[in-house]
Amino acid sequence: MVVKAAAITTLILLAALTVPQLTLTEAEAGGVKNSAYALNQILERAIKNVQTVLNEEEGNKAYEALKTRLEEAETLAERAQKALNEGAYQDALNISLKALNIVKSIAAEIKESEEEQIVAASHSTLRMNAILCNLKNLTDSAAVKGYNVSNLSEKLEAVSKLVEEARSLSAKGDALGAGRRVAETKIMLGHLVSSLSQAYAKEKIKLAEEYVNKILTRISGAEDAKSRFKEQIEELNSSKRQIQAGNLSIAIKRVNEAMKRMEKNLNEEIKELSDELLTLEKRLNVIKARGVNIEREEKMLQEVSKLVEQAKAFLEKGDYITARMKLAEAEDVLERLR
Amino acid sequence: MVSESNTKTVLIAATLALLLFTNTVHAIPAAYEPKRLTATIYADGYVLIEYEVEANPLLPSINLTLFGERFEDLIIVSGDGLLLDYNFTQNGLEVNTLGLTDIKVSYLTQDLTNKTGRLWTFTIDAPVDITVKLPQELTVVGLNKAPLSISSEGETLTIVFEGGMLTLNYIVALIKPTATEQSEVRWWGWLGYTALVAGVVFVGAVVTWITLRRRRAAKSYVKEKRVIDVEKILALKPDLRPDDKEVLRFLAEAGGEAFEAELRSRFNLPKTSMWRMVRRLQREGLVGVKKVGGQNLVYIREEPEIGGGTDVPQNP
Repeated sequence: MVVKAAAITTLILLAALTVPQLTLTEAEAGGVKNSAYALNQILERAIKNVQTVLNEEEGNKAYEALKTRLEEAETLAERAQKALNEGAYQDALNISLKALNIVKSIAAEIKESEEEQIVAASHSTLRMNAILCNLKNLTDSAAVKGYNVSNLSEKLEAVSKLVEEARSLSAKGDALGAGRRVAETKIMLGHLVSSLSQAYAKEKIKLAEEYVNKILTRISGAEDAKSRFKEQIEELNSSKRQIQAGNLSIAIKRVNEAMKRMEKNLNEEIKELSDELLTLEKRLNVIKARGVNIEREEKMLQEVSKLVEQAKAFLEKGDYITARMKLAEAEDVLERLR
Repeated sequence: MVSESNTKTVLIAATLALLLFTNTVHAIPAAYEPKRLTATIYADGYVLIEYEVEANPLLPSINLTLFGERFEDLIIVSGDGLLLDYNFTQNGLEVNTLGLTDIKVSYLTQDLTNKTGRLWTFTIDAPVDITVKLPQELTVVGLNKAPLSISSEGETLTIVFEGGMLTLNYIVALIKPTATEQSEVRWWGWLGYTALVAGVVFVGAVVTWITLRRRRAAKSYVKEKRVIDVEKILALKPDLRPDDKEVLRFLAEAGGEAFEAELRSRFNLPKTSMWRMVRRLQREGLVGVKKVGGQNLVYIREEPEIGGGTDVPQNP
């Protein structure tokens, strides 16, 4: 009977252990397969392009040696491909990484070329274009929300022209001219960002006001927090006045300071409570050693510990009000214990 | 036998010990959680970082850790496109999130790349999975870990890596197209210009016509049927790889020639692998390649030719 029960328990345990393991292995296998195929593509492209670069310098003896080394990488790539076809994905991955290492060592020995500068010039316009597109989208989104951004549209048009000029100059090989246009574009883009930020000033004031109101409402809803955070309430009210006067940066600075002080106060209280708990525990142990029944006190001590831990968790979430409420509860229990 | 009272004492002592340990550490609220990270690498060493985080809605501002030390064209917006204010502090970048949660940061930095000779190295310690975008002129030649996936968006290669330290080596090169590709590029360029004048409909019609013509040319091509003693050829080249031998046997069975696409489908191989295999056989002087209707037709060479290959293969 005992043997049967043990066998069944073992089987259940084995099943419980094996099922998730199988699922995990399948998922891992899928991941390895995708990785292996992705890496193989990168490797194929690397070999092909490095070969093209080497072929551009016909007759370079140093490059001939590199070509021979590239053939080693090619052979490995073929082995990796074979492993892929056979479903040995981990092998394919390892072989491909090894082959890619060879390609990297070859690439490190290829000398710099002028064409890099040409590409770099064209890419400087490419990245400016990416920033411009981002700003265009943001401006469109502001327009949809009803903000007056008509002056921005004209500026955007001017920047677009500059980027286009830079692109055209770099295509003609005039890297210097393209560079100048890119520099001008950067300055104009900076102005555009400031203007766009300005267009949103009212919305930011509204948001800041909502945020401060929300915090104040929460504090006033918790009696204990209301009395403990008196200074912070004052600071928040003062920052609210600054927000209404349009001094957003000063207001946010004050809100930040008020919140930082709340965080600091809470941390100090948590530390004080934890220290007191330890002292109480020591005293209770002495009493207990004398044979006195302190079961009730032990329970209370445990409750306080739990509440302090909860307060700490809320503090870590940034919820200072709930953290304060938990500490107030802990103090109540502690008061009874004292 | 441990009494209930003793168990409680142990439990309390453990909780208090934990408290004693943790109360030495100042509790700091978690300001944000990284969500998405994209890095677009450019040939001039700049990297465009696009970073999305979920900010703590209970905090008025967050201290954000960015990648690199110097940031250009820094833009921070909320999920619905509101430009947010920020300032640099001793702790990094302080962003006034004002209770908003979805925060998107974008900027350019040169601090993530460095160059030795021709070899560039991009390094980043990514807190989440990272998507790396590379324009076509950038070729990855080294990685410290395998990618999760790879895809192409237009002329940009997109590679996704698991979070953590990533080192990616690349070179910048203008990969010139082959002669055929060049003529195709010129032709398409002219066609594109014409299309601007004549309209999209015309382009569609031309493309359809060309595709059909090519398909018809390839379809209407009547393959030669030769009787080839493949074993005799194989006997001349005993060192051939088994895969290569199979391709030759298949060609012989097909009457001496087959399109490269047919070979790929028969042997279930990707384009580049099949191209390499055909190139190998060309080097051995066993097969030749000719263009028929825009497709590569691979044929077994006439016996007297076998022995030394001269054909230059087309890139796949």
